[in-house]
Amino acid sequence: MYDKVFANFRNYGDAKMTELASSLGLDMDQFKRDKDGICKKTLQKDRAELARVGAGGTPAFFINGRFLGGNQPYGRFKALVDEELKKAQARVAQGTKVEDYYNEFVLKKGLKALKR
Amino acid sequence: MKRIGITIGVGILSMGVAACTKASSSDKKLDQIASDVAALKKQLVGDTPANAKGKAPGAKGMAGRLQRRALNNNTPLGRIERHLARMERMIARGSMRGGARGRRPPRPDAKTVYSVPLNNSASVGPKHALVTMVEGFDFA
Repeated sequence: MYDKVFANFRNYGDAKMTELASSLGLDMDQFKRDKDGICKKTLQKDRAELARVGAGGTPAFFINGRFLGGNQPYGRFKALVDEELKKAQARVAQGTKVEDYYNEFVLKKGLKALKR
Repeated sequence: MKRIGITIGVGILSMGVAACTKASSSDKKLDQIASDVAALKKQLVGDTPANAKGKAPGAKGMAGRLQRRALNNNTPLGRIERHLARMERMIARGSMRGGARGRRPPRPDAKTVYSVPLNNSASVGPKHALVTMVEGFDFA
């Protein structure tokens, strides 16, 4: 479904989505329940969370919580990833567990909302 | 469609003249050019877009009649004319307010770390990693 939606990006209409799901042989009752239920709620929540930290458009990237917006060249990603990797390695060397790093240093210490 | 070329051409010329006039206000030649352009614009287009709120531009003669008729028609040309008139009014309002309209909302600072929850989003790679990249995307 994911690939089909990408291939038909010019039409996100309800009828088109239903047609694509049907062409894949999905359980259409389940599809409709998910589309109007959990999928819709998840999407709304994700959008609200990204908007809270100032990402109003796509694509938007957060690398260990640091923002990189729009279509950026490879070098920008690499520089930011390398920088964050060094920071994380230093924390781990000081005793932080890998599984705790994101929670401790991004979720807990990161800014909860963009200052406007 | 002819009107578009005339309006834009005269508009750009007017702006150029206005900028030059500001730079050297004592230059009588520029004043004369500005005056000539204003007269030419009035002759070609009529009233300025800013003064044409919700009504047909005040062009006179056959061109004006055709323009007003197009504005009142529910034809593609009429819709284009109405859209153009609306855009011209918006541009005029924007320039009068010193470009304050359309200011972009603040963007996140690249040096700040933001608390971005992962929830149960689809992911690739190990569950715990030293570097986690979150992508907000759409299907385009």
